[in-house]
Formats: sequence, structure tokens, C-alpha cells
Amino acid sequence: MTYYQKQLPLLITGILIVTLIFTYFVDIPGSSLYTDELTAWAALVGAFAIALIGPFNLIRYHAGIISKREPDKWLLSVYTIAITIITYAVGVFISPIGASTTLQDMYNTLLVPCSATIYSLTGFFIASAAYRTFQFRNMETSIMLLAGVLIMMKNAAVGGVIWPGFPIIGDWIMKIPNTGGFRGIMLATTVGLIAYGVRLILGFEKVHAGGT
Amino acid sequence: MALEKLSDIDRRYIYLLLLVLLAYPVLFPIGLPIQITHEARTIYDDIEAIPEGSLVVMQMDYSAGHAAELGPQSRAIIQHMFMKRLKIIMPCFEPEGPAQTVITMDGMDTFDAVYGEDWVQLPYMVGGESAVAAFASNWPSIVTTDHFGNPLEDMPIMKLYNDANDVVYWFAMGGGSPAGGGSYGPAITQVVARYGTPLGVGALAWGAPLVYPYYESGTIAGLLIGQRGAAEYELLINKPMSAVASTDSISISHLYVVLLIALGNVGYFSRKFRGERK
Repeated sequence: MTYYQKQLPLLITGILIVTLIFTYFVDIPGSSLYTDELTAWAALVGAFAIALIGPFNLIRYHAGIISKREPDKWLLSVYTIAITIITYAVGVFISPIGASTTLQDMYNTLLVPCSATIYSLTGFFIASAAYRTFQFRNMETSIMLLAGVLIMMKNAAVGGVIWPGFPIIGDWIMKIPNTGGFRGIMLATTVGLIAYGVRLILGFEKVHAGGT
Repeated sequence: MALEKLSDIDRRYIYLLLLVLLAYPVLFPIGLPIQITHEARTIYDDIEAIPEGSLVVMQMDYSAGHAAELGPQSRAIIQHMFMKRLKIIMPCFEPEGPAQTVITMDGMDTFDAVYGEDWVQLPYMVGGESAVAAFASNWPSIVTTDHFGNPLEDMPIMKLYNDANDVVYWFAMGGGSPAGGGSYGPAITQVVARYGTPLGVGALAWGAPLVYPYYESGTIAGLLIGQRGAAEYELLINKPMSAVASTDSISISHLYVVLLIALGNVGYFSRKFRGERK
């Protein structure tokens, strides 16, 4: 790879990150125009990726499955490509304005019922799974079972009616053990993200520039 | 022997009974009492204290799969904002957001609010956190028309909005995880951290543990959790709608799951006791 392919993208990435971080924390007069422009560029690049590259990759991937006639998959791939093209065509050619009633009707009559059904079905699986797996087998599963039941009774309006202690104990679990646990996870994740950012600035992270 | 069978009930019977228990309270409401939590009360008090005519943002970021919980939440919050005669900007950073906003606004009592002057629906703004940052700091750099294709620069409501400093209260509807553009995470980093704007969050029931640390630390001002939160808010604004109607179903189904867990454990211990004796 040449300098322009390998080093230049890393240099641009590093300079942009340092500039954006600096202007985020230090209020320099006039700098907001520059950073606003950069964030708008990022949004434009995102739009380009989602609106053009996304569908292209999706069609290429599923076309590969169809050409190989992969068992149990290729018909679903045909369906996926057809739906993608139809939705795209309606959005671009039939009614390009965002408030298209055709798109909204398609959304209301197809996507909403299907998504709602699939999401609702998880409730049935959860009921069955809880019945089969939430058992006092050892210390860990017992703690999980008790915490789960207490939180369920806190979230259900009837919990406080059955016993006023349920909401109090449920609140305590959410505020103390849950908050403490998730704070640890979030802090660890954030430190990892900072480390990743430093690697990007210094040019050690090369995946976005075609490296490994 | 009979007790052992309790841990081996056919899942089809479990599903069927759950279906009956979910449907019955919808057809014949029981009217179980709903206690108002401090999380929902905080949002209500904050919005109630906002002076009439102030600018608020209602970030409508949820998909159809989450609409059962977040739809009633957004309806109740927006209804309260209209009742208080606030000026509402509704941006979307999730692809399905604009379509969900249209569904939410269908049949909404706007208290004679004028579109473009008192409220506006914006289109989907792509770019995740970058889009939220751009919208919070300089909206013309990322959006020029509303969801219906009308130019925003001519609208009186957008003349009131230069950046997030002009917003009195920001409410973000969005999923369970703080990650991603269509969620409350970018609103925390790009709005609360940068401008100090109070933020309320509408979260899914399963996402509550993830958002709770932000609420406990005071990073976010208020929190609605799942359909229960929506029901509480409907009661707070004294306008019971779909969430209150379905609260009985949720309560009964939760009790049913607890009963199933108890039956499963009775069967498990019965089996274990028999095995040990042998």
C-alpha cells in the first residue's frame, strides 16, 4: 500500500479526533463553526453508507446465497431482495417526500403487525423458559431467581397490592446491586473506548484504513 | 409422582393459559391499583413546572417492535406537553422514528396547537451520535425540511431554536441500550454533558437496569419504565389511555410466571428428593 492509502488516512483520523476532543472541552471562539461542519460531514457519510452502500452490500450478500442455491436460505434471500427493492422504489420513485402515505401505509400494515407479533412472542418464550430454568439448583441460580421474582413483583402493579414490601425491595435491588454492577461495566467499557481512541489517534488502529 | 410431573408441563399448555390470562383482563378489566413511582413523578413535576410557551424536544427514537411499551409512553408525555402549551420539536435519529411519530400523533389532542408554530415533526436524521451532536449545536447543518418536506427556516418554532441551550427540557424515547444513535446515550453525551439540558428518558422494561445508573447519579432527570411507566403517566395527567387498560394483563402475566417458577421448583425438588432416597 502506498503512503496515500496507508499513512494519510491514519494521519487525517488522528488530527480530526484530537481537534474534535479539544474543541469539545475547550471553548474557543469560532471553533464551533468548524466542529459543526465536521459533525455534519460525519452525518453525511453515515447517510451515504446507509442509503447506498448498505442496500448494495445486502443485495450482494443475498445474491451470492441465491446463486449457490443454498438449501433453506435462497428463497428467503429472494424475498429479502424483493422487499428491499420494492421499499426502495416506493421511497425513491413513487413518493420521494418523507411523509409518503404509501410508505406509511406499508409500514402500518406490514412492518408494525409483524414486528409487534415477533416481539410479543418473546413473552411466551420467557414464560416457558422461566418455568424450566429458574430453579434453586445452586447459590448463583438461587440469587438470580429471587432477584428476578422480586423485580417482577415490583414492576407488576399488583405486587404492591399483594405485599407493600415488594416495591421497596425491588427498588433497593435496582438502586444498589444493579446500579453498582452496571456502573462497573460502564466504567470498564468507557476506559476500553478511551484506549481505543488513543490507539486511533496514534495510528495503531488501522482497520478503518484497510489494515488488519 | 404427581408432584414430579409439575416440572414437565407441556409448553403448549403454558402458552395457551398465558394467552387466556393476557386476553381476559383486556376484555374484562379488573382495575388493579397502580402506584406512582418517583421516577415517573419526577418527569411529571419537571414538565409541570415549565412555563407555557417554552421550547422542549421530544426525541422519537423507537421501532415497531418496541412500540407496545414506548408508544403509550410517548403519547402520554406529548399529551402532557400539549396540555402545558409547550412548543415541541420532534427529531428522529432512528429510521422508524418518523413513522412512529405519525402513528403517535394520530388522534392526539393538540389543544389547538398550530403545526410549525407550536410543534414540528422532523425527518430521520442519519449519523447516530454525530447527528445528535449536529442537531444539538447547529440544526441547519443537518436538517432543512420537516418530515412532510416543508422548509424549516420559515417555521416560527425553528426560529426559537439555535442550539440545545434554548431547550428547557429534552425527552429521549429509545430502546433499552444506551448505545447507538436512536437511543438516549447520545442525548446524555451530546446534550446533557455539553449543554446541561435536563433529560427525561423513556425506556423499555428490560432496559431499565441499564438506564438506572444514570437516573441514580442524577445525569438524567426522570425515567419512565415500560408500559407500567406509561400507565403511571396517564394517571398523572388524568387521561387514562391504552397503558392503563393493559396494566391488569401485565400484572396477571407476571403472577403467572411466578406461579410457573414455583411449580417448576416443586417438581424439581420432588424429583431430586426421590432420586436421593433411591
